[in-house]
Amino acid sequence: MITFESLSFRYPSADRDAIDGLSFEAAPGVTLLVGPEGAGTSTVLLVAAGLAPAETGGQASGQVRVLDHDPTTNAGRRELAGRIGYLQPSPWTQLSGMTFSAVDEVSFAAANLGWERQRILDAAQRALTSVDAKHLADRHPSSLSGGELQRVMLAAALATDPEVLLLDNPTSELDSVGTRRFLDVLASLPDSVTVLIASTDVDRAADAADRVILMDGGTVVAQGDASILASEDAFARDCLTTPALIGARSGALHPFPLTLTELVERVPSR
Amino acid sequence: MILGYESGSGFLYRAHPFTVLTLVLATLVTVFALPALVGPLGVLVGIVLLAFIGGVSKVLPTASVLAAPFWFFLVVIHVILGDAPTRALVVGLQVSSMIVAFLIFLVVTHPGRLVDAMLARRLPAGAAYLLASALQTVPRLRARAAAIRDAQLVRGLRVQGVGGRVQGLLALGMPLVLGALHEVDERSLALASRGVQTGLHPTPLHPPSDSSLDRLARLLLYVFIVAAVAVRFLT
Repeated sequence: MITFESLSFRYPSADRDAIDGLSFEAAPGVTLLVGPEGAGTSTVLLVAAGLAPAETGGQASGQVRVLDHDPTTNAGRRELAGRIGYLQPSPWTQLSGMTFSAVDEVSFAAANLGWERQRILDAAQRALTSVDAKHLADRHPSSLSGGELQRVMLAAALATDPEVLLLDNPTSELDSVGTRRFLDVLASLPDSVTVLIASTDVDRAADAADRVILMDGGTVVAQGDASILASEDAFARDCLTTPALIGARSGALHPFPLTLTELVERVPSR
Repeated sequence: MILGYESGSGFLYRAHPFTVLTLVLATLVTVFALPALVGPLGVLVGIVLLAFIGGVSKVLPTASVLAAPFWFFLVVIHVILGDAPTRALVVGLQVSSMIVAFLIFLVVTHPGRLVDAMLARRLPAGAAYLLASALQTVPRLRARAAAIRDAQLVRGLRVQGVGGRVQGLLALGMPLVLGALHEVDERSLALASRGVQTGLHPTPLHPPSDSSLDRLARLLLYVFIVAAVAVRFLT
């Protein structure tokens, strides 16, 4: 469970808040954060991961609780170590550069937590298998393609069996098959895991989301189920699903068709 | 130019990273401690021979390129403008020896192997990761520079002739620096999110074996260092 209450955050030297009085709750399941550029979705993940302001610098006010701990404090981060999996949009910059193989890269976080060696290797193999990347285990990380590496890094985020997964544009390097597999991985996670995804790929991410939160200017504009992605709020912020966008441009009345089936049914034939 | 780890099979590759590190330390100390001119010359000959025997002679062309500017200025300052050719020779030999030793260390030491070696000795994880990051800096910058240069060539940059090359260098500088700074930010976030700063001692996944030969080599190198320092103070 993740709770934000009147949270504001400003990066160093910025002239406005990246998050401005944000309040929402992400229960176990998949919550999708969407919004136009600069909406603050990635920053929400950084704060929840305990990386902002600790690593980024800046000022935070308000409250954030992750699994009943405050990730903006040292004590909170210590308690949450290994219980949060965080994935950045670019898999390349997440490589430790200190490993010999993909399985070592997946093991990195567990090794840093001081787990016993065999437990680490078992967890890494399990995580690689869960993202259908077991065959990549012995490959050198730098020899992997973008899609392969993104799957390996997802496995790395899963390796410590986190209770919270924070995924920032996790399908940016994946093709449609890879994205499908990724959604299958999300679906296979235990119900107790809280997943927060910031994504610009609303079409695909919407399929996996139990809840959608639409953000703009660092605050929540609307929240609810996936139908938000076919709302006028989403239309105004260019966050519609493709069927909804086609429907909107074809003159369909609000609410716009969310899925392809609805689109076919509702758009008048010409 | 070879400025980072490259896989190989010589005995220096198989040596424990601390043994290679001790070799660098021994070079640094003895090249200054042993009497000129024989001392620095002997150290340079020794380290070059070691590079050949250890299967890393590929570092020597790079070492020559890196040492050339030093030799040039030493000759200008001490031989052409001054009157101390021996001094130029001694300093040149000292600098060349250090360059060869550092390059051997860079080429044979995989950052991960060094980290595992340090973690296995219960040394602080922060220091291990910092050292490993430093070893990766030049190869990463070179890869980034190559990518930026390719992108700029595609966008019409011409690098023929001296003027074109200088222009290309200027066009490379800003994106290289800004890109590197951005990458440092992202990488520090990635490492922090993967438990690097939890304060727990990491588990080394592949701690390198520290053979009795390694321990003997280090002992001899320490003896060599102490002897060289003793010679320095006793003569």
